[in-house]
Amino acid sequence: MMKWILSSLQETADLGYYMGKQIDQRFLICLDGDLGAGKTTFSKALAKGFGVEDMVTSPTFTLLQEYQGRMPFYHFDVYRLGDEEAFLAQGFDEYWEEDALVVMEWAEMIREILPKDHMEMRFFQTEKEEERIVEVEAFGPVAEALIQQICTFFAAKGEDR
Amino acid sequence: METIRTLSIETSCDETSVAILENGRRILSNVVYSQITVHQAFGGVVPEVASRMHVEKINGVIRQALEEADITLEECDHVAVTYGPGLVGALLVGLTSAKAISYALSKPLVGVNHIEGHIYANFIAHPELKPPFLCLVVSGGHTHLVEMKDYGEYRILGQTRDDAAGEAFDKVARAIGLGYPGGPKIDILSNQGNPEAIDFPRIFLEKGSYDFSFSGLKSSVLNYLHRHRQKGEPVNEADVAASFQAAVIEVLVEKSFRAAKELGYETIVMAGGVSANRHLRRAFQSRAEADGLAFYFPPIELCTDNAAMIGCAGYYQFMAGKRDELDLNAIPSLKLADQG
Repeated sequence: MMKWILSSLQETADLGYYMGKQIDQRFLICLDGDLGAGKTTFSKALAKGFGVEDMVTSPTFTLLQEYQGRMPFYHFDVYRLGDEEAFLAQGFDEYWEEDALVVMEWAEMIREILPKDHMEMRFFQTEKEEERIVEVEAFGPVAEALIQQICTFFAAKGEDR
Repeated sequence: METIRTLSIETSCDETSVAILENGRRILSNVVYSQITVHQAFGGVVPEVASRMHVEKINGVIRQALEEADITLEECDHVAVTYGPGLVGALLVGLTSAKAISYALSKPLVGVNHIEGHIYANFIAHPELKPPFLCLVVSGGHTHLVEMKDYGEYRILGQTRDDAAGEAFDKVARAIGLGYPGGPKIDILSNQGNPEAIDFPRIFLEKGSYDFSFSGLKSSVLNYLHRHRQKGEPVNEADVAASFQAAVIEVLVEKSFRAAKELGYETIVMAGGVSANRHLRRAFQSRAEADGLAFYFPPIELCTDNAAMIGCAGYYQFMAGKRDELDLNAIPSLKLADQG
């Protein structure tokens, strides 16, 4: 597991945009973190980097928002579903069988049924208003390759300073 | 004039509702079965529960609506049904029922956009109201500022770029620990709070924009709570609720009335579940009086999801010649788009 500090909302967005640019195959990113931790900011930027031109709005009410980027982009918020059974009852597991980028907020709610290949990102607030800590964990080769690229992203940031 | 009777069905979220209308604006019956009490235990709408409950309730609700209206299915002239946006499993229950009735009795089918339905709730409540007007649709899933130029003729001026207004209410209520549904709880709690106690940001976006953004405000409230809790400082929850609500209301009022002024509208209409918020209504009312505009909002029972509003929208589309086929599908992320 890797851990980095995001010093501002802009940096959270920059990371999302950068990752969106890198991803070019079927992939699942799970996002966890309290309300206000930065999941929305990150997801919007990720979508933009992935080539989504439509406005990315919160999936909390609809559970799922579908967009088209370089591939389909599916944005889930499973908070209201609560558990694996409810998720499967909606047939939502079919979405990660597709060549698409799937982003899932509150994925911890359905931990038991996540596919083997995915990336988990957890956002934590600090005492500073815009600062966040992000923990990234890779499961499977695609995620491991992406985590290397994230290292490059932060290394480049470090050189800027 | 010939009497047209509309049978309408709405199951997009957590209400199973069936209504019978006469000539679009007269309610013969409007039966709403709400699952809210079931969902309160879960802190939000649980979609899987929602679909199952709709299946269990729909036939009984249809029967009750017909009984209260004292007519038979055969006496209805057409069927109107919500086909989006909403939860796909929930939408399908209403849509399938509507199609079955349409097919079995050869009654024309009209699919209705749920957001459009919210606007039409005002036509039922206010017989004198007609387009053109400016409408603010605010609910758990939507925040739209819409020009309604004529029946079925819209231009979207602005919408939320992240969270809907009602969603911000729900999430802030969740963070304060008030439970679900968050809107009414914040509305009530804020009576005891000072709306000027905390200066939460008013997010107006770039100059001239009619879009909304409530995610930043939500984060600001959460940061405030987080900061105080970390330091072990007490939080006046009523002040937080009142100050948060004031920030939402100010943005909604300013944008709506600026749009009315710039585009020359003399009537402002509010619709959707959040328009049940009493502080929001009062703020619109007093600003409308100051600006010399007419202001309309639906009664509470027509603010929240109900089939009568879907029937009203469906009636006007039916009269305009719109017909849907039996392959009409549920569209969970259906948008309200520019039309006409």
